[in-house]
Amino acid sequence: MPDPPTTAPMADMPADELARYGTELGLEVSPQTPRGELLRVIRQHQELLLEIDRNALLDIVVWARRPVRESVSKEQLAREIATIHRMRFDGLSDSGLSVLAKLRGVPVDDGDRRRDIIKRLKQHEGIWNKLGRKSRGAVGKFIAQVIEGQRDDAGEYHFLPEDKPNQALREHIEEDGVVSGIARKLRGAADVYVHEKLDEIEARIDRKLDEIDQRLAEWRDREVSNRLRIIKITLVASVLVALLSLGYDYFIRRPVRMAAEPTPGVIAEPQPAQPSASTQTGSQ
Amino acid sequence: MRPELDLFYLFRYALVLICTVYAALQIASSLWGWHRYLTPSRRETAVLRQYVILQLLRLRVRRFIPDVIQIVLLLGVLGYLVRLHHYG
Repeated sequence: MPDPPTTAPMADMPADELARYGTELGLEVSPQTPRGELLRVIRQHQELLLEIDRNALLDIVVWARRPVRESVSKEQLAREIATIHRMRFDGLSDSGLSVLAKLRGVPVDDGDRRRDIIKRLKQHEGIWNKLGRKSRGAVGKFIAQVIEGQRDDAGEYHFLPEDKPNQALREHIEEDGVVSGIARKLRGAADVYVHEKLDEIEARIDRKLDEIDQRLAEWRDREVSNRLRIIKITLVASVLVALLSLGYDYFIRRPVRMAAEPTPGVIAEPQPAQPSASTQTGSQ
Repeated sequence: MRPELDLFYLFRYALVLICTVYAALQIASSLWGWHRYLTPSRRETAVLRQYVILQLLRLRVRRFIPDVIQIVLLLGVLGYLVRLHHYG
């Protein structure tokens, strides 16, 4: 991972990269945060890292069993610690607990007791994060029991092996002579610099691609939501028209139809019989 | 005796027929356009086709469950009202 940016390059970084850098350090920032506020928060965190004891940071990564090299910088350790969300602090030293609380944004004084710091950390976590963590823990425990079964202790923690040290200039000159040795050393340094820059460029391109991916996913979800909203509006309009039609049928057409039909059960009055033509001629 | 001509019924029937035919033709046209756009075997189109399928597979249905429930309820209400019309 590339070295953390110095103050001057950080001031030149675009807002989204500053926000990403702040998020990697464990800060709660977003690209919408004003630039001045982003810089202030990040510099405040960097000053905090300068004050923190490095051994306390190492205690935290050992307690969380994270794979790191013992020689990494404080900022690399802080980035790793920002990804730790455990809330069971058994086995963590007091100094490590205090530093963990500070890195998570919980105010800690030097004379605070361990249980007070743990209580403040749990209050800072919030109810939703706690519920999510508990549910994930239950699911993880079940799946681990099904797949792995009973598992023994993981064993003693070991740091990752260090990188092979670069050959010293004396060794280069011994092998290749003065001029060739110096040229080889310079070439090696230039290669390291170029590789670091290429890695940095590749990481930035990957981040931009991830950002594009995320925006396309948001656009896709927005389009599906809009389509579903249109369907709901159409159905609501159909229901209203159906209610209107039903009301028309019940209150206007049906009474008219029923008024035109004869009422069942009513006996019609007998009409007086009309005299026929034969009875009339007979009487005459 | 001449049968009674219900203009209201005639209007509803014609509306349903025209809207159904129009919607079916629009959907068929859209699907045919997507099929013609994504079918060619050029490398760029193959990559785009795979990316479209990937985005569809990444769609999280759980996010739209409240909307789907509302649509199902509205369909139920509409079906009941249509039943009342015919048999009520």
